[in-house]
Amino acid sequence: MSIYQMQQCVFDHLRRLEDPQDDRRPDDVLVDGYDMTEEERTALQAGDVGVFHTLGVHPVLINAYCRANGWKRADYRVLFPAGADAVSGKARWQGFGSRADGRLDEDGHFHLTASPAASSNSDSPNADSPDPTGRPDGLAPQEA
Amino acid sequence: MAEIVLAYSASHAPMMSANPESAPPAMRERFFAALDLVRDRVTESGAQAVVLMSGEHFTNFFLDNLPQLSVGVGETHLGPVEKWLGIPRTIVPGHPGLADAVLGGTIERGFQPSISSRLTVDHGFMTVYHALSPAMDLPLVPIVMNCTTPPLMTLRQAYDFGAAVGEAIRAYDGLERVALMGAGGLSHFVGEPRVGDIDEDFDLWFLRQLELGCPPELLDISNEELAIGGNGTGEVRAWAACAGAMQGSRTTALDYEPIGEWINGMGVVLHEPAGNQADPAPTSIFVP
Repeated sequence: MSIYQMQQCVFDHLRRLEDPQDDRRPDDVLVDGYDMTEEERTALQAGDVGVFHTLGVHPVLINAYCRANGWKRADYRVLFPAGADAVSGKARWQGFGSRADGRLDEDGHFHLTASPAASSNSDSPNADSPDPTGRPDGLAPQEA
Repeated sequence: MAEIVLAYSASHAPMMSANPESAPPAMRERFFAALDLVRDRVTESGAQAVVLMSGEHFTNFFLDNLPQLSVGVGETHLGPVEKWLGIPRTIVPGHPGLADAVLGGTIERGFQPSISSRLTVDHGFMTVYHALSPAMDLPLVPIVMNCTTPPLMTLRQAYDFGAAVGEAIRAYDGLERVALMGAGGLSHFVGEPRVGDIDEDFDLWFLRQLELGCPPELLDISNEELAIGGNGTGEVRAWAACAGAMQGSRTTALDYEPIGEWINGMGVVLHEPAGNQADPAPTSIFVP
């Protein structure tokens, strides 16, 4: 198992890119001197972050590598195996509110009651005001 | 004894500095307006230094030796390391006296941060520090938190650590006025198949919980559940720590913008201690 060495290689590469005197291309990874498999070495030389991910490189290292290369999300998201290991499940905040259900409006206000129209004439509350909902999650009772 | 004159937490997406124009104008303007507001308030307060807590991005530490917490005690800090960030690389002044007080004070209170006399400050610090101190001359005490490599501190542990940081700052007699900041989050997914997703429900729920004083509903959340909101979202530990230091203060969610172009839920929360509360109070994003 040489994933540690592969991650060390990415980490060292990112450090080299920080050097103001080093003008190497951000996808020019030095792979010599690391005890890696051929698959790992090939992935690093090809800059295939989808394989980085599959082999277990830490996502923060992958993110830093992509940013150093100036890639936009759309450039590299397609390289990942979609949904292969997505963390999912039930979380207590699901359904709290978002742009999708209209609670977060275009002006950046979040409406604690269901209908933004119902509160359009209300003054914005101060944070030290009594919570208008009485619920620990801040939602109006009828919206629970 | 030092007073924490003001505290706030803010997101630190690199694109806010590297390519701010990529965001929708209205969202960008509201976010930066919130940062301007807190900067002006810190300036008016006469803060002499800022203690800034942010997540580690494998800039200072690697898997061979990764502390949960580290305090930068150096006289200076180099940053940012990212050439592409849009912020000039600078030698930022530190404050060894305050840093030693935070380091020693948190150890006295049961935490074990590592010591770094040569801490590098990456985008996690420099995006928000530059917004706070454009001349980059406000003495900075950086605290690095491990927010992405398990095993991780829980939100409650982060909150308790922040409480210890707050007590340590207030026990320090070398300064009179200190600002405190948490940086990172809100929801984001990085380096994995869901890169770019934003969990708005989490972000808004989290901000509301901060305004409500960090009830057990928030602090007792498991790390496994928190991870559902994104593999970068755990940086909200810095926000929880900031809130822990400011218990009893007035907390206001000043702004929230789900900026897809920055692959990040962007927010700003202000904590005003008694004795330094604006009148009228700042406007919350939460309305009836």
